[in-house]
Amino acid sequence: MNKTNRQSVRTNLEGFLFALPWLIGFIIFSVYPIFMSGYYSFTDFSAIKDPVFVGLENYKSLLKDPLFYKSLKNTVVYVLFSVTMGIFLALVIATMLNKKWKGRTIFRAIFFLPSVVPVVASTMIWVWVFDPNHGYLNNFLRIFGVSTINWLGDPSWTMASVVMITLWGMGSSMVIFLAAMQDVPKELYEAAGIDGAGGLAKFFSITLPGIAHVVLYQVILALINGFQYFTQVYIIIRAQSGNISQGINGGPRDSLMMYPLYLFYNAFTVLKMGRAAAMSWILFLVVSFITFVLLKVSKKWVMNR
Amino acid sequence: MGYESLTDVKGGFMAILKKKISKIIFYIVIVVMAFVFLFPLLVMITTSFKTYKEAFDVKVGILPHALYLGNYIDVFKTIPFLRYFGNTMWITGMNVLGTVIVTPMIAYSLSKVRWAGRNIIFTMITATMMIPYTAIMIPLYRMWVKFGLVGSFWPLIIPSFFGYPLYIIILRQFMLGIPDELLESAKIDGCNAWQRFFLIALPLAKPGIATITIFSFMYTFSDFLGPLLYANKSELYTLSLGLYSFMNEHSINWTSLMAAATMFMLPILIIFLIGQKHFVEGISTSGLKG
Repeated sequence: MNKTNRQSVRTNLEGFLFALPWLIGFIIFSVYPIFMSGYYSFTDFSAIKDPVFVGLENYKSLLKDPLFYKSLKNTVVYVLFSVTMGIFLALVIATMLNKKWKGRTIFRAIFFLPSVVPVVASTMIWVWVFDPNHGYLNNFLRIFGVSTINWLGDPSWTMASVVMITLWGMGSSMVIFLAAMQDVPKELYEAAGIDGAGGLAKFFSITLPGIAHVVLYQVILALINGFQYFTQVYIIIRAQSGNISQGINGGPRDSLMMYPLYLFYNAFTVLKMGRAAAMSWILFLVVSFITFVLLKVSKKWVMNR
Repeated sequence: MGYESLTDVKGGFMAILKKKISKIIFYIVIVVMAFVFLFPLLVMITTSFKTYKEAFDVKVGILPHALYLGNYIDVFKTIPFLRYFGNTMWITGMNVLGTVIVTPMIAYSLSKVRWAGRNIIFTMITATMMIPYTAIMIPLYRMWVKFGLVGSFWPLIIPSFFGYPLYIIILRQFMLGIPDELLESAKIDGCNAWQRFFLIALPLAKPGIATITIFSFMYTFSDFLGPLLYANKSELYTLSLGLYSFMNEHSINWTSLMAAATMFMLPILIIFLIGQKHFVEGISTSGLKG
């Protein structure tokens, strides 16, 4: 008895010590910053100036700020389109690659490749492809008599353009769906084949329920990523304006002003870090809330293991 | 009777024809889609071999007239490419090092040591993955300011020595596959905790470690926001920032920029081709755990 007790103390100590680096990192790099951004959101400070308590001032000024709403709206629109379309496209391509046919590994690599291209490089390539006068996209569309579209310069096209860039990088979701599809028991399909189910019926009655938990997980990750959408718009805006304007710049009529971008401007351009911290706390609450709701709602239709 | 069998034959023929046609359509669709996905990269490479005039001439197709190498030379004239490459490789190398040292320990604790906290900690790690970086960016920045480390590589390196959630989750999944009997018998043979970890678990987790090495490399090599915040002096620039600083001129020199982007892509491409199997496996396990 005594021996097993000592044994379990030793095992607990062993496990704890091996996990210790993460626990320390968790406190320093996750717990502390989350609470501090809560605290900072009630203060006025910059990188050099110490925090001064201002109460709800930051939240009040944000709620009166049209750019705050604009950035929130843009981000929600971006997230809605990029997540639904991205997941849909990834599912379609994964389904195509899930059949047995020659060369499918090469095609898997081709569809996956864009997702590993460094984001600065890929964004710049797209700015070049989207170039209104010399870009290949417009050159191609001119063959069909489509007149020049200013993809990244016309506020009615910018959102569609950035969603397109995101769709191009859906490869990692696709690979995950493909792996999940290959885990769905073959017998299920054979049984359905006897019953005379067609391709689409098979997809909705067997494949999709079989991978629902993976899809849900990807949707949540895509949402979180979507709410952090920053680098691409930051670079696109700089490329469009020749990097001259260093101030707050949300692209053509602020159509590319995403929430994280506005947060970044607040923190590092106009040095209102307390205000930016209020934005990050709001973001954290919004993302947590959406994740929570998704998990709750989906309990009904996802066959959890 | 005979009439019926004739329609059967006809029906069978139609079915085969229908199958053939749908197969051809399938191939056409997927080839076109693959081309669309490859197209931007194709544009990057071909533009990098065009002269400036060619690149802006609509009549010139996607392929250049000749392989013009001037853009590549121009890259070295415009930015200190080798310096930026060195900076990037240093940060990347250190991140890989930190990841490879620390992640296996944590993953081992969560998969092969039956201790009281392992499930709680695993849940916490999964939850940490859901925190948007933007939400914690400001306190972290201020913390590094206080440490006096903004304007150095350390804020980009040190965190990797405490383990990143994604890599821990992937490696834990790999280590769950290591048979417990092996560790038990090693224990009976007198191996202590460290020996069991080093001599049994670590060698068996090699494929998983290869995967997280690739992940860590890819991620750090391409990172933009991190260097933008912390490597804020031009001598500290990484390739991401270096590429971006191409636009600091009055107009964008697209052909040279594409040459720089191509060179930037090269290490990623090589690792992608060599490690595709590990990479795909890692992505899959990380996504499957749900």
